[in-house]
Amino acid sequence: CSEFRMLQKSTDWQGKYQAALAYYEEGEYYKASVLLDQVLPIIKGTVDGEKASFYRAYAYYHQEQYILSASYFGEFARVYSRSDWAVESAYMEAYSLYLQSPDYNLDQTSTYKAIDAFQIFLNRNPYTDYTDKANEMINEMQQKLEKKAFENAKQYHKLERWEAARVAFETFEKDFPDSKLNEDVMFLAIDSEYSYAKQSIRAKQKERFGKTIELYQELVDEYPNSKFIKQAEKYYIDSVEQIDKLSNRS
Amino acid sequence: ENTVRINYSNPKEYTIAEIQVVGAEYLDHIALTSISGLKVGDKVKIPGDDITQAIKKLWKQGLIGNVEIYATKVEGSNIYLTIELTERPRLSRFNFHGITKSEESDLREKINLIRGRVMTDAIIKNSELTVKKYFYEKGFLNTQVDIRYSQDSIISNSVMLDIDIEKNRKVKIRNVNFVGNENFPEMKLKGKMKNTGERPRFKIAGALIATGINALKPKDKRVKIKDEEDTAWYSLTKPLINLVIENVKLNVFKSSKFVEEKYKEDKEALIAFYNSKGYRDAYIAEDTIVTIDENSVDIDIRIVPGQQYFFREITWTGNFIHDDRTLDQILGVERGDIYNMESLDKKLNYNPNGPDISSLYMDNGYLFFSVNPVEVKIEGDSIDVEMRIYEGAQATIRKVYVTGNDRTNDHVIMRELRTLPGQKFSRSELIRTQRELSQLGYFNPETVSPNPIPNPVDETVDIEWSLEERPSDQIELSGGWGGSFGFVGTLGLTFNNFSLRNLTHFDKWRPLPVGDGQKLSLRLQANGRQFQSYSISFSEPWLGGKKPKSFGVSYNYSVQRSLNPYNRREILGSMQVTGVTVSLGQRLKWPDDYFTLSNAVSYTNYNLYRFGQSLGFDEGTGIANNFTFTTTLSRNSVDSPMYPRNGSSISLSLALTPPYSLFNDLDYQSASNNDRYKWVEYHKWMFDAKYYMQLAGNLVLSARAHMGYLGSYQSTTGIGPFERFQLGGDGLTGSNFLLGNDIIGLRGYDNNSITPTETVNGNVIRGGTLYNKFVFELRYPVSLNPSATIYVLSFAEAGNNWLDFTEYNPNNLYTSAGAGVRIFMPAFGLLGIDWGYGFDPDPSNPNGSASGGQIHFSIGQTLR
Repeated sequence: CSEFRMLQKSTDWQGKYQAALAYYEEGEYYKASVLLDQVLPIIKGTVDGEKASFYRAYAYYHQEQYILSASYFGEFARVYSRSDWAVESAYMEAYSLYLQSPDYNLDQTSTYKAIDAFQIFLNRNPYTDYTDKANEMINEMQQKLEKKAFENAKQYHKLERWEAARVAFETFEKDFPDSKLNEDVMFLAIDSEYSYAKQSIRAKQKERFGKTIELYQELVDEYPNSKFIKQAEKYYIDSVEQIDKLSNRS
Repeated sequence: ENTVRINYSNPKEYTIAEIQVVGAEYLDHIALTSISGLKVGDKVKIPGDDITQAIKKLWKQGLIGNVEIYATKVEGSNIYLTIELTERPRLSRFNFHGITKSEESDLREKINLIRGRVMTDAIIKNSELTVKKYFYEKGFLNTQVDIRYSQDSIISNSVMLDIDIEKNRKVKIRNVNFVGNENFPEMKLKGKMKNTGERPRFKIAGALIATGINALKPKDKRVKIKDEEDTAWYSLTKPLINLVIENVKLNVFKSSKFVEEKYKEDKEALIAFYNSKGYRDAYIAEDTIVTIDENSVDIDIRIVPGQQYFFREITWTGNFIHDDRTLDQILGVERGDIYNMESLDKKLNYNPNGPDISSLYMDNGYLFFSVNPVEVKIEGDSIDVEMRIYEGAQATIRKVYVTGNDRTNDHVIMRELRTLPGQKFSRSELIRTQRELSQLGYFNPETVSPNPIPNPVDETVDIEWSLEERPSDQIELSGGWGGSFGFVGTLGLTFNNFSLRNLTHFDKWRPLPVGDGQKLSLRLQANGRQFQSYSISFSEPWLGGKKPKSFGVSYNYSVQRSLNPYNRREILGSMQVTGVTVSLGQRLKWPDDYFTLSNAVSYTNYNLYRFGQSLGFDEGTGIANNFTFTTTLSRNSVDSPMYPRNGSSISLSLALTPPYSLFNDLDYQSASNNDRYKWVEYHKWMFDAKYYMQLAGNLVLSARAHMGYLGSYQSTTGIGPFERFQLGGDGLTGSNFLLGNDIIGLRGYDNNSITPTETVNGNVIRGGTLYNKFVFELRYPVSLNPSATIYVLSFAEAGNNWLDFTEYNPNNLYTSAGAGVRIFMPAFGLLGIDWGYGFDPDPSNPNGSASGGQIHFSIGQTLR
């Protein structure tokens, strides 16, 4: 029997607790977390209980078990709201969630959770050393969400599903009004609608070239010096001509 | 003694000057104060929320029995607070007595007893109720629970619980009697009570004797069995039937335990059954549970069925898009039909077996559609129903997104979706996309679900595709005796969701580069120096990401050596085969969008050095080259890859080599094999068709037909030993694939036993140039769980393999029949074992007896 196994089976919770702290200091986070999980229900409500639950959260954090660490940091911050570690713990809850947030092209459920957690943290603790870092991470995650929406809209464009692309780009503008990507987005929306109109049946063309013109005007109002102006203008001119032709024919 | 007066109508703010904790002997005062969230120096409003919160926080810890916070003193704006609490002992452990191990482990999960928590009376009472409920559900209605607690000597201030349970005997149902039922046979009603069955009984022997004795008695003393009609038939059969019904109850699947909750459900089912037959007002007037003895009860149910009703007028209101006639047709309810709301509801909202009113609207974007049938007039037994329709606006899809994909990248999923932003919402597109996502193989097919989230304000809808990833990689690790090679070890790895571009980004490995929907397979097979085979293949289903054009490339190399049998080191001869294939495929839109066309170019080089007579080379040494172009047209509408129930797949392929013999001056009649096979030439046609049909429930019939033909451009060139067909056995490609032969299974016969041979220029060539095979299979699933799909099958099949067209006779086939089982596990692929009986004698012994029973193993999906 190893020492750790003996400790696991022992009923001497004081000994377990001390050993857990010792393991923690030595960087043996797995062993520390196992022992702390065992002693916590017993020493809850004592001074040791506070320390133990804070250390447990960190033990899981160091094991990169961010789902658990987020939950334990959160619990600590709520139960021991007057503790010296409460602010740090609340921050670490959000930070654990942030570390779980995956690449933009995967499910972003944890990103949304992390943003919410940072936002709540900032609302409750507006002036701490963590404020700048928290804001930075919120921004980073916002940009990730922007990139996700942008890339997905662009995929419709690539797949030549023009209507879907145009709707997705327009939705992007509504969802992220101050995004830096909006210039590209507005141009791609024109490009999509123009291509859509081009390959439509005659009965639908007038409406769709009309929509192209509308989108072009929006771009000109918003970005008069856009790098896309030249190309967009071509679409505009052709759309006007096409509408002319269609009107003369009917 | 609380001397402080607090004005409840006028809250006032105080500063906490002191917090005292009273009554805590084992708990720490500082910690308690800290948990309460109150701190000296804080400003609190009294009366106010802060104190309530503090009490709540303390209470929530489950540490204390009772808590009270009061002010002991007020000095100006300073307040002195006291937290008074009563400590409770903690629960250190608990034991069950009087039940089995498995019951105990079930209960430990259900019972909400946490060791280390403070004990309260409520916890004890709840535990008792939990235990009782658990056993009631199992039919132990007389369960007694007694909970004792005692000091635990090891941990201070804690108690242990002993839970004594006496289950007593199960209460079973003896008879279910229906009173007032004149409309349906009693058996039918009992059948509707799915969970309340009668106890099995088999007392017919005793009853027969009693009847016999009864019959022997003088006529006036006989006990009348039942009022019987006086016909010969009746007098003979009726008593017999009654006898059986009363005394035999073979109750295998139904539980006869009495469980209150299930019984309630069954009563509802009973009423639902009456309703569905037009008895709209049916109700259970009373039901009595009669205790017969301590372990059995009778149930008497008195049903008042009321009147049977019929539909009279059905009118539609609120429909502008579809007219009454269209709606009537779909509803299919005629004047005078039995009034059945249940089936009406199906036709209105969701009909799995045909069209319904909702899909008529919802497939065209009317997501906000609703229909509400209202009974407007009831006269005698006739009911007029008005269908109130709200058509609403056509919803346009705004956003489409995916959740739950923690391995597979968005673009791999998004490109498969048929629900696109800007389109009108359509339920049938939703269902088709759901099916296609399940077929990708990356997600648990049972949990692929679309969640439409309507935004009534702007008449749009967002669609969330919620997915659950499942492992899709496969590993094959096997060793076995491979004929003349002795032990052959195989290692195969298939990554079905590979990502080539992340190969160099180690931070994105999970644990390999995954998520782009590409497929990478590696396979190594070797037995040391004598035989080795390596292959690697890669495919990308959407080349360039723009169109569903698949691209594949593969390379294989294998070598077979003959070694000096004395030292096993010296190489006496060898055959090396090297091949490369590049293929491109695309989905077609015409004739319909289930079609695929794919083209491939492949090159194989055979390099022989003093290697036997198989190709008839001079001294067994020479080189053969095989360059082919293959085109395949296929259509696949099979509904599920693992256990198909419906749909078909058809594939026709043609492989061509360049017609060298037209251009070179070689005299094929007299040339040596070295020259004849330098550039191999042939054309090869393959046809495969599979059809699946759901017979009943999950019982599926699968029918297959396979044909192949290998021909030459000119009769003078002859057909070489390459690419021929070998039939019989399990169909597994062993080590015989070196000449590109097609190994086709035929269960009930030895491997490759139905393979004709011919001698050309003194050289023996094995393999037919024309084959037919037909299979009928009946399949039934044992488990459809995606982590282990298991089904059993029985089959009848027939096939033959001929040397050339002149011998071809589709009526002369080798037949067999048998049964088997298939197991699919995501990590190992499909594994199977079959027993087949061959009805015809083996070709090697044409006048012998039937081939007889054979056992076949299979790995992977067999193509043919």
